[in-house]
Amino acid sequence: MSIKKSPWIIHYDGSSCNGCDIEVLACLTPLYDIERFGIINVGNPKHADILLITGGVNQQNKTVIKNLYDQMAEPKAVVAIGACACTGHFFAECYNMLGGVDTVIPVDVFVPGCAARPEVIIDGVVKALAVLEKKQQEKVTA
Amino acid sequence: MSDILKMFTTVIKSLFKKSTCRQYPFKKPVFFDRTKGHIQIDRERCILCSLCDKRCPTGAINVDRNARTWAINSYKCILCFRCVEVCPVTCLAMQQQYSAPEEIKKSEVVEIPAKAEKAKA
Amino acid sequence: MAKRTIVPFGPQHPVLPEPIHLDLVLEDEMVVDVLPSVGFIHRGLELLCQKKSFQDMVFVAERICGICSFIHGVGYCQGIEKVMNLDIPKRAQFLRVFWGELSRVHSHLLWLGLAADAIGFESLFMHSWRVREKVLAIFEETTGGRVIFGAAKVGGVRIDISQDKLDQLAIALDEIQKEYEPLAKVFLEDYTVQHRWSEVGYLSKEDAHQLGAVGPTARASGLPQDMRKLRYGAYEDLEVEPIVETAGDCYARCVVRVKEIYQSLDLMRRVIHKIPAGEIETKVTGFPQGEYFSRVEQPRGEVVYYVKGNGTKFLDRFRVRTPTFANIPPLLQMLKGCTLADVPAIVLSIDPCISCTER
Repeated sequence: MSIKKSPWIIHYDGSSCNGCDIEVLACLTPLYDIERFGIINVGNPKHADILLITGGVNQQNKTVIKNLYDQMAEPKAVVAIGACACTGHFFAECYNMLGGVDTVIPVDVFVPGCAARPEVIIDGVVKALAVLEKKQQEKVTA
Repeated sequence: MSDILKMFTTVIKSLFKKSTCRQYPFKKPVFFDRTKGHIQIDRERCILCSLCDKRCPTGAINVDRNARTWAINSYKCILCFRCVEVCPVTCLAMQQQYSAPEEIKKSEVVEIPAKAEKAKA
Repeated sequence: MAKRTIVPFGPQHPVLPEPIHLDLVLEDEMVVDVLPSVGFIHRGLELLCQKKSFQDMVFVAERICGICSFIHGVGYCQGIEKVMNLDIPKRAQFLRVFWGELSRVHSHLLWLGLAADAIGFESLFMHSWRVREKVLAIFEETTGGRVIFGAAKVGGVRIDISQDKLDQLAIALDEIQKEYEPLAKVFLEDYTVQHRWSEVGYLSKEDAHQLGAVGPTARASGLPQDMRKLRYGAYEDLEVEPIVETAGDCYARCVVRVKEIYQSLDLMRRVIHKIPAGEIETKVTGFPQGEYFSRVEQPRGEVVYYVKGNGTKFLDRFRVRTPTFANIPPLLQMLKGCTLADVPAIVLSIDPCISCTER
């Protein structure tokens, strides 16, 4: 499938501490350079195939994340990056937090780590590609 | 004119220079001695004191004395070294290999053998 | 009079890695008023101090922001140590300065990259981040983490660096400086950068003082304000002269940061040269009782920590005033009268760290 050859990603910072965000950006820079695989970070959700979310969900950005997800074209995959986005770790106890990203939208791949290393993020995106392909095939057969 | 010359020398230098990229999926990642990857337990030495459970700031570690299990949720773990510091028998250690991304969040459960079995072994 | 239009900017915007929302009131292309709305990253972590023990709060403080995480940890620890009257070993204080200055280099290189990206100079972005990875390698080698490394602790630091390693690091610092020099030259001399930034986002010295600007934003407007002059920790033995520019525009703020990287590299060399041998932590007994305001200098400016202990292992109150919060009123002042196309460059010029601001 063509999507598998060059997936475009969109990155949204939920309520993270920036640690995972800069690691996502570090993936784009010379040392890790995921543009080798045709992966481009875009700003428009309609262009993107994979949504990378760092940080947990709070009362205010709940609707923003939902909006972003709804605007993306099918098939789409969601990758939750870092411990905050997976479970919310100690921030889940905070009064304003709902917990991980999976409380609002369905998540396909969970990437552990605090902050998640660029290598794990690349692995996570590669995993999301397999999910995308499965979804694409389901769409074709349906 | 000198600017163009400068540009060409830079271009030619860049052409022959070694690439900065670590070529990650094709080459193994670079780790240092202290790199934080994941927590590993030496099940032979664990005494189920559950100090790590109590001291973990995020509640990622779960020790069940009755079932004799030690479980870690790597999606909650923030790799702070706290459990490694408090363990009285130093059976916990930080490993360099990071835990892999998964499609479902599940804890990694380790069964701790009973003392009698340990003595036999 | 031209018709007024309101253009929403953010929260998800390609130039910003973090969500902030600005309502820009425009007259044709000119920005006449700005209304910020924040709260997309509010976690409410200050209240966690009533659920986590004061020693575990270091981990929370470090996760206020992932870019200057170590200095956040140090600021918090310093507050608790003052409350408890703890005497910190000299070696620990020097190590704190070492990692703190390294964080400053990492943060400024990150900002230089992002700012270059905002003006459309992508190759400069890539080069800045390439050099930055070398700084991160030092972090990983000495502490194990790349961005959040948890080296601070109430009573000292958790990890020591051996003398051999420090000597190796001195060589690594020289390498970083060698790679950084051509990069700095582009920022200081290239006409593209000057064209986009000079005379854009002007903030006068009076406005900077009145609106409470801190850090490089204040220093670029001619205010010689630097918390390191307070001589906290090991800065007692290390002389720091704030770098001041007087132009007050985006370009001046860039120049301040470019020069501060040299200053920090120099400070680290002095730390390696001067660091005494000895313990790296003191034993902490008892619980904090009392209150203290701790002020430290972050890459973005002054950060104020307020801690109040009540004699138990939980704190009564923990409050942080972060530099970006102080820099938002000056930012609104800068944006008035600029064109719409300059908004991203000006917003980035204060080095906004939204996760700090909203906590």
